[in-house]
Amino acid sequence: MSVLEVQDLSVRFDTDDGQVHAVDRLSFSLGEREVLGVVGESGCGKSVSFMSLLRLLPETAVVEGRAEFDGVDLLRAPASRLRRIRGRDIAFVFQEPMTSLNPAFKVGNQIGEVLRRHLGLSRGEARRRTIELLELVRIPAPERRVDEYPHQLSGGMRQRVMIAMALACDPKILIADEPTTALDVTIQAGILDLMRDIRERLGTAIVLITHNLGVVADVADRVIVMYAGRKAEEAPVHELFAQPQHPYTNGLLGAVPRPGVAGVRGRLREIPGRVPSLASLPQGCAFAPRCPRADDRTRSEVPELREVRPEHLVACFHPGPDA
Amino acid sequence: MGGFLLRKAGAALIVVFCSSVVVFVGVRALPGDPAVALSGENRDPAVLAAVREKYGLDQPLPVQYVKWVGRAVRGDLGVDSRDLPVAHTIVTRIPITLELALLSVALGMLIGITSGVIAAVRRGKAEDHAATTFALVGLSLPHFWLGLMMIILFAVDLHWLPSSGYVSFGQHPIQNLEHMVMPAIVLGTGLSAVLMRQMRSSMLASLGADYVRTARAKGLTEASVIGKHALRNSLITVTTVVGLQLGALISGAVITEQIFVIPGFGRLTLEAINQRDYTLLQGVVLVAATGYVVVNLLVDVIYSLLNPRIRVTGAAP
Amino acid sequence: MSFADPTIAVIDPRARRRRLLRRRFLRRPLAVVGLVVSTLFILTAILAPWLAPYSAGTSDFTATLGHSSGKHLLGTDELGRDVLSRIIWGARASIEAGVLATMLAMAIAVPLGVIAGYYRGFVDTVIARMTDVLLAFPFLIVAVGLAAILGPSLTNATIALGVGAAPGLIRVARGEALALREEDYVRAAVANGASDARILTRHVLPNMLSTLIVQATVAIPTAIIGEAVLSFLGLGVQPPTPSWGVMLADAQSYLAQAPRLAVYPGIAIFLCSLSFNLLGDGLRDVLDPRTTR
Repeated sequence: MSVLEVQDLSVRFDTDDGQVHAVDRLSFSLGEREVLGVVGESGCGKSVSFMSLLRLLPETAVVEGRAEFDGVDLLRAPASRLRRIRGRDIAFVFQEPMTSLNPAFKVGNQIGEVLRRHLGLSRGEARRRTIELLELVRIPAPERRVDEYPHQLSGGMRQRVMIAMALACDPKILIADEPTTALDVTIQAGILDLMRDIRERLGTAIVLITHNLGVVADVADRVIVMYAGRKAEEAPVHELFAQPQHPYTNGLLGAVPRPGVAGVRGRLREIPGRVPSLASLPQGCAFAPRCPRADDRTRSEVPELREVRPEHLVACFHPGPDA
Repeated sequence: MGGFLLRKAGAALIVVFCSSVVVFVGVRALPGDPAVALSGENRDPAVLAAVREKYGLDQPLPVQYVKWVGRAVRGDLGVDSRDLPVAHTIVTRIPITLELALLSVALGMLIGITSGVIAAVRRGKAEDHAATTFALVGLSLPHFWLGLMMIILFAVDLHWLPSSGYVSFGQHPIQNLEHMVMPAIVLGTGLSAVLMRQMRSSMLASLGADYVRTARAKGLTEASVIGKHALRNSLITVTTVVGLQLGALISGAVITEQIFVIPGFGRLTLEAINQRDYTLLQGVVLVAATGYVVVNLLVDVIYSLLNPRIRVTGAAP
Repeated sequence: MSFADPTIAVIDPRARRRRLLRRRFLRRPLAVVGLVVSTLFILTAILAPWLAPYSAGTSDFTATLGHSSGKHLLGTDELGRDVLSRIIWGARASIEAGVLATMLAMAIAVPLGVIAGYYRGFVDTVIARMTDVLLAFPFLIVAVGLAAILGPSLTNATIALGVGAAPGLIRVARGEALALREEDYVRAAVANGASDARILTRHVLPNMLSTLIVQATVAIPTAIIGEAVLSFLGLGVQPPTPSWGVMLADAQSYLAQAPRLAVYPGIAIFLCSLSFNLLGDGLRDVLDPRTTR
């Protein structure tokens, strides 16, 4: 049972320097209670795709496609309907906890807002529920924290507050954009534990956007790999790590430091070259300029997604794990 | 917050003290012999000597300064050339200018802040262009000319409002407002132009901030996003601007009172300079400077109340 | 964009930047209008002797308070002097005062501000406190006071205006210097042993330039209006030399009979200020990439 169906999502920005194609015909579905990992380098369009679902992009963005949730096409729903879905049925946790909270209001106020707006709770009830939520995300001394301002909390705690705010109305989908990137490694582990916990206890479907493969391996059920605004590969998590098909995925895995593998003195394999500018994509496969398997066909034709193994899609003319 | 305010108060005191020195020296630098002016242009040496002794002008400057400050602190600013106590004159004139200032600030803030918010929210659209043009015009207009134009239109041509003069509120509230309307508009225009631009810029920054994106993602209504989240942060920035504009307001009041013949504090300043009445001038300028410093201190208090980062010291770095 | 001509690709980066700025500026019609009109005013001021149909003081007592006619395009004032000519000559006083006062203010403010902001410490405290004290006095009171001390004349009014505008500019210059000294390239220069003079001239001042230019362009209208105010109060230009402020002061007595005498000089001041403000706004948008337009 899929809770979200996205078809041919495309996002384009009209800028002074021309058109930038941030996302190109992305399609996927998200199942109930599923944790979907979305992986790719910075600028590959992963954040933009999901922000476009809730129409959080600036006015210069042109969004096409279809995103079906609960019988509604998110991209075309009237603003009032969308506002009732935002924060209540689909919640977003942003990347920068430092700046994503309003410095002028207490933390409890900002969480309580969501409860009062969507669930109609009174101030007293909202406060009690807020404290419960803070406990849920494992913030110590929640009765005290409720009355504090964002600048009084550490980065890790602010991120937890953001998560609490997102979970306030028990959403069906939680989209977490790089939830651990701005945090120390030790804090990261705690947040990931929390994510697992949330899925177990609350049954929320989670989309985890990250550039960190380690995070994905830890928590996700299924993974989508994006490159230059397009989906390069999609597979269940174990399958992806065991049998990576796309050369980009292979490159990413090769670049992950793993003690013991390839010898302790082995050099990390990098992917040569740089991510192309989204304003001027190459003609054929977007990855061709950097791909060790590139040939004339890949340089002139854009590969479409094909299922090469059960439940395993890849957009490549020469799929297969590296030797 | 206490520390912040204490430091600001300390700085304010130093500024007031230095201002008093500057005033004292500045007035002494004005051309002409003060004794001559104080004795009503009487050049008889005997009279001049008596005047010098009466006003302590024969004593060394530092001594004169100390005496003056000593008395000023107790509220005694001396007597002017007509033997009227300066402090009393000032006290009677200040409320008039205060009323003018309050009306102007209220008008300026009302128009400036609302138009700034509207311009930011409707950025690039008709409302924005209209408001920005309005602000630009308001900035470029010499306000005393605006005053003259208004007098021509409303007093001379249409006879709707009086061209000059003043009636106190206690005596006749309606007439008081009739006399104050044009001056308040004249002064308020400049302030509203500056505030509008500042508010627009502030709101644009707030509206582009991450926390506003979060507010939208939470499904809050646009009214809540703009009116609660964005506005609050912008108001904090604008508060400091208002304080700084008060100096311009006082300058403007001087000319406005001159044009509309309002017997306020501003006009008093000009009279003092023109009549070379040094005691009066000293007292007037000292009060003006002190007033400015005090008001800015109040603005600092308001700012610290609005900005949680100052009000509540953070636990985390 | 083709690189067929190899010399194009190797352009001096500073020239390229200037070209880019020029293009961005030209794309803003209001800013261009501001530039054109303000230049026109400056040219009027410089070319007054050749532009004005009459000299400023020529009076014709047979045609006092005349309406606009073939001989006098904007009419005559209470002494029969041609209003149009006086406005043209008045541009001289106003623009001179405005530009020179601003230049004086910058000459005082920039060195003081930069020294205070860059060196900090005791020097900074002294300069900053002094500036605070001066700012506690309303700009007009300072200008009026100075003009009274120095005696009424255009030169003295200009000096008074320049000194009055300086404290605000000191604050700006100090703020910029304070921020710039923390920049990495400044710290790198210090670490490399560059002398203070070199750092200030090569790294600090050039990066303050755009802010200073904008501040100057906006300070000019304030000075022009300030000159008008001072002349209005009798503390600036002395008759018969015309200035827009003097014309307004004279017009006050004839508001009922000849309101137009107050209208023309005022419009001149307004348009002049507006053009400089537009220019300043345009420059700020173009030079500072951080502004939210």
